[in-house]
Amino acid sequence: MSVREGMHVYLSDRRTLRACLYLAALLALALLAVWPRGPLEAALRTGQVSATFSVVAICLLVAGLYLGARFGAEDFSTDPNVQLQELVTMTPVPLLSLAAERLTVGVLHTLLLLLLGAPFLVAAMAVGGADAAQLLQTLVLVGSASLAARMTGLLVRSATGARRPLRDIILFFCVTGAAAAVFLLAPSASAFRVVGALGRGSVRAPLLPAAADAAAAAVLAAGALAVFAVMRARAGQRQRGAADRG
Amino acid sequence: MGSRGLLAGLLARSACALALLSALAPAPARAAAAVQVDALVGFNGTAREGRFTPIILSIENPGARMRARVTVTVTWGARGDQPPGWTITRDTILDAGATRRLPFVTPFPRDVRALQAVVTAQGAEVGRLDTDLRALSTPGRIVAAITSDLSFDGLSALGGSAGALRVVYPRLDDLPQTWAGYDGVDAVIVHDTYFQQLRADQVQALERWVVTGGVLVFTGGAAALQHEPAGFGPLLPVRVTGLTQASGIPVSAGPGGARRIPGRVEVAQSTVTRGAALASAGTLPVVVRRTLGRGAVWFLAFDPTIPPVSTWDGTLSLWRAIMEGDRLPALAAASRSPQPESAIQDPWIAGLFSAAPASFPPVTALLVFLGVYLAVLVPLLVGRTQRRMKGRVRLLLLTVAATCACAAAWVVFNRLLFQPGLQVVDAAVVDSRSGDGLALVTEKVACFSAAAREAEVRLGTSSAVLEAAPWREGSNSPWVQPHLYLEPGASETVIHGLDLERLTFRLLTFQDVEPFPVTVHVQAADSRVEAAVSNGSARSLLGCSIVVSGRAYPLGDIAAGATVRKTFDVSEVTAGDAIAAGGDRRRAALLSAVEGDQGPRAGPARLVGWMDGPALPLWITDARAAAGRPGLALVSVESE
Repeated sequence: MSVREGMHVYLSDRRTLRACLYLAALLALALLAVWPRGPLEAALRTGQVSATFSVVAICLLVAGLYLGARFGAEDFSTDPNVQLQELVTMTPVPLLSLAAERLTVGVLHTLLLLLLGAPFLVAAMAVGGADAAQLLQTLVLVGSASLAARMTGLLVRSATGARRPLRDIILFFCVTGAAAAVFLLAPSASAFRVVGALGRGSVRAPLLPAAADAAAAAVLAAGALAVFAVMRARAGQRQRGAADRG
Repeated sequence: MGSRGLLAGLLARSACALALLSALAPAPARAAAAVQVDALVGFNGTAREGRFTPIILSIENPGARMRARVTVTVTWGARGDQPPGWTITRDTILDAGATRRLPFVTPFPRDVRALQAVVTAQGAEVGRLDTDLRALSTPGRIVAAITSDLSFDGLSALGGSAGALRVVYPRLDDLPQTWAGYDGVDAVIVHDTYFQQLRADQVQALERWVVTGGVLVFTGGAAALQHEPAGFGPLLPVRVTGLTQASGIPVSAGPGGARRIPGRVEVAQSTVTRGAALASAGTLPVVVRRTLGRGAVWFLAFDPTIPPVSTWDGTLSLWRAIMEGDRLPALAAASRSPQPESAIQDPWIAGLFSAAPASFPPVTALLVFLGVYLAVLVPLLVGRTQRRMKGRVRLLLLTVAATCACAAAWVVFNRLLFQPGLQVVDAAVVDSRSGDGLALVTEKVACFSAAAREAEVRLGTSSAVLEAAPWREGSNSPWVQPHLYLEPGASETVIHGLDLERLTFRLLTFQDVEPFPVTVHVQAADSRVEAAVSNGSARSLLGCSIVVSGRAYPLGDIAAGATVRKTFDVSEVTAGDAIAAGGDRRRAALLSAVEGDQGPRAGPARLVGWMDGPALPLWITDARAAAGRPGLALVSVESE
């Protein structure tokens, strides 16, 4: 499957497209819920600033992680042509190009999701006290975190196969556990902490989590490649065994 | 010659060459010679707490001429490694073997601690002075007497609401060059100058200080003949023509109730040039008062330091009447109310905000935006049309929709309905008295920003600047105490790095005395009011009204340099001051706030006019006016 075919699946599959709409609806609700309603004078008098931008950014990050993980695990896909298992075990597609294509398609689709969510962040910028640089930093942070979650999904999917409850549980714990561990143990590398702080002012090294997530995505993609290799080797053994028995 | 001889010759020549080179080489940079730094704080080492005070640094340079940087820091507050402080830096040239005097004006807070002056040259410290200021601080009133003998100590019996009164005797050379330097002084008495002459900037500083509310008293007797040669001519309310003897001269500091000084007194002969004689002996003015801005200039034809006046029991009550109680400091004169807890509570700013409320974009605007965006997305993502649509076309349409939505959100929520940049709420009051030619300008600038940022404020004069309300530094930090900024003697005042946290207000009050030659003549009869206004200033006055006894008589706009005369029939004019605001809610709010702040105006009439834009030459980086910037011009008309 080429990059073009991969993007075609994301842009034609009903469930995949509906997930994008849900993302937009979630961000719209979040923006509406936290939109400042009191007079500006009250905010100036108390010095309490609106958290609109931070809340919308966190919602986009959560949704990006969730969708990234599910898309990576090909949960939304209904097209049998893209089922990973078959591609790895039953076709002679080079594994490296398969992993690279998945990574590339993941990056492109993540960019599309970010583009769909960006208008909500732009609307929240002024009242949320963020500037253009903080908007771009937020998009980079969310995009890299979503890509890392997508690669986690790909790895879990390739390791567990189509066993749904087990895969979902493992995926959930992997993504949330990693986010919680980073949040607690390395706060400066936590996308959650930095995205939340961006709306309250400038942050030192705001792109550190993005770099960490990008590196994690690359490592996870490499891990998925290794799993693909094991799967193909096992499939080859099974085919040879069947041929021997035949 | 053998090889050994050749080698010895080479070595000898090399040694000679090295010696010659080392002699010709430039001498290594030597550290600049140490300079001696001394400081004269306040007036004869006395400074009133909570006011600005002059500091004169004397830097004696025994070495070579050098370019130096002088940094003066005044610290205050509790003990600590880094107490809060105010620093001013000035570059100067220290001539060889000479002493340079550098005047500064610094705030002198109630809990002042120390003065530190550091002189550096070529990056190295060449002189330093550390002085404990606590012993120099006084809470009481200060009267400065310019005299060759210590003859006004008796005035300390006057006291005041703030406690004791201290009389200080500054040297003529040490008098401040800027009006803010006199901020801690209640009155200046000029007795004699020992035939020295003041510089023009010192005379101008005294005049401007009087405009801000100071009391300047010229005493008479034989020493009065020195006043004009000393340079006080522009300030004197009289022209001294000679000296004479008079008996039983009447003395009064107000209309009526004059008491006579027993015995024969030597008095200065004079003619009144400005102001009014409150007591006269025949045609001889004895007590003359000239109102100048908020303050007054007095001339006493007699010498109060020699008998029989010095032993007369009415002298002290005369001084008490002249000094009229504790003078409001110039920088607090703008507000009689207590300092606001936050900038938004300042009466001027609060009035402007209530008149033109700035608000967050309405939820309805957000709903429309969200509705339109989702309405575009739905058919592209789940509608019937999407089934027949090619992936590439869908990608293109989604990209276009999201990009357009971003642009729309940017324009609507970041430009049209809400400004994320630096916002300024600015109001000024130009307070003058008809014919004075000078006005005390008070301009309040409240800055806030939806996003954290740093601003720079640049003022085209050496104005006094007070940060008038506490502000919040960082989202979770407590309120920070106000700061003070001042660049005396400089052509401009610059406040660098004014930190603005998100939606945190900072309020700066600028005060200066500026030329404002506007004269107003009003004649009010039973049924008619005649007004003549001459606007000699460089700015147009808009929507002017003459306010007499609670009635406003509209004059319209008065262009720069123009004169307007109008006669009104009292019965045709609407009562009330509201008309003076011309129906503008912002103007009405400012007028109301100023009257509430400064109290009702005395006197029979005043001109109320308006100016567009800031009254002082003021620039703030990337600032946008959030609620307009009305400038209120008030010109009082009072009979002398």
